[in-house]
Amino acid sequence: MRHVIRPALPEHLGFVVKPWLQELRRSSTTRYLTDRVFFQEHGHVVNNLLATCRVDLACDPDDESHFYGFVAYAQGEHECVVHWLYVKSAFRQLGIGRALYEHATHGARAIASHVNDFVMGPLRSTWEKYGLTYNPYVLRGAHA
Amino acid sequence: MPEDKKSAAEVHAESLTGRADAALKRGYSTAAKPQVTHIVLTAPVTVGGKQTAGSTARVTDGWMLGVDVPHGLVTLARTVTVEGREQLHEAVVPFSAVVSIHYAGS
Repeated sequence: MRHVIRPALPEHLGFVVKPWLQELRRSSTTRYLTDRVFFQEHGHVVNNLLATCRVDLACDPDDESHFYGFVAYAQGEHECVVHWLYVKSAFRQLGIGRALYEHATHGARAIASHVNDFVMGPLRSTWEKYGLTYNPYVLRGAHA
Repeated sequence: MPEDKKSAAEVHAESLTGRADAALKRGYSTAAKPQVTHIVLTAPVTVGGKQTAGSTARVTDGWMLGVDVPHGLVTLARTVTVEGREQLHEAVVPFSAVVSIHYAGS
């Protein structure tokens, strides 16, 4: 699918935070948290990560205000740390997620700081193909 | 009836008004439905300043496509992010203005 990948600007972060928190909220990994605790505390984590990590958007090449998805990532000590990757449901299965992932990691092994049920279920084989490692401990300090 | 439960009549009325969220839920939930790849219309359609390529709206051109069989409507939508807020632009088209609907794998 035709798209361009470009860096997110501060005014685009609303598009990033909302699906990130909403998708994570629906995951079984946050099942035992109340909405208040989750959105308040994990909102801090995401906002702190966004202050330091890089966010790139996949957009319509004819209209760069029409976003298809994003990847939030940082270069760790040895490997890229992928914090969250999101593609709007209408544009899944069209290669945008793969393009965002490869844009962030350049095809190398990477660490995922977050997972959800979709990633660990239907996307498990893709996860293994890319050699991702789930390591939430890279988030230490992100709650300051 | 709990407050968050809507009667069938309310849901029906909501869908008939073409509300964006209702249309999106109907057309774009892909888990149980075949995914629409493109829709051929009898004439080009412009939504939010963007026109379909000829008379065909393709997902690969950035269109979000929904098909509402019970009401005989298709929805073409795109989002524009302005100052961090997503705005949905959509057009609801009757089946009489549709030549064909194409699904993934068909």
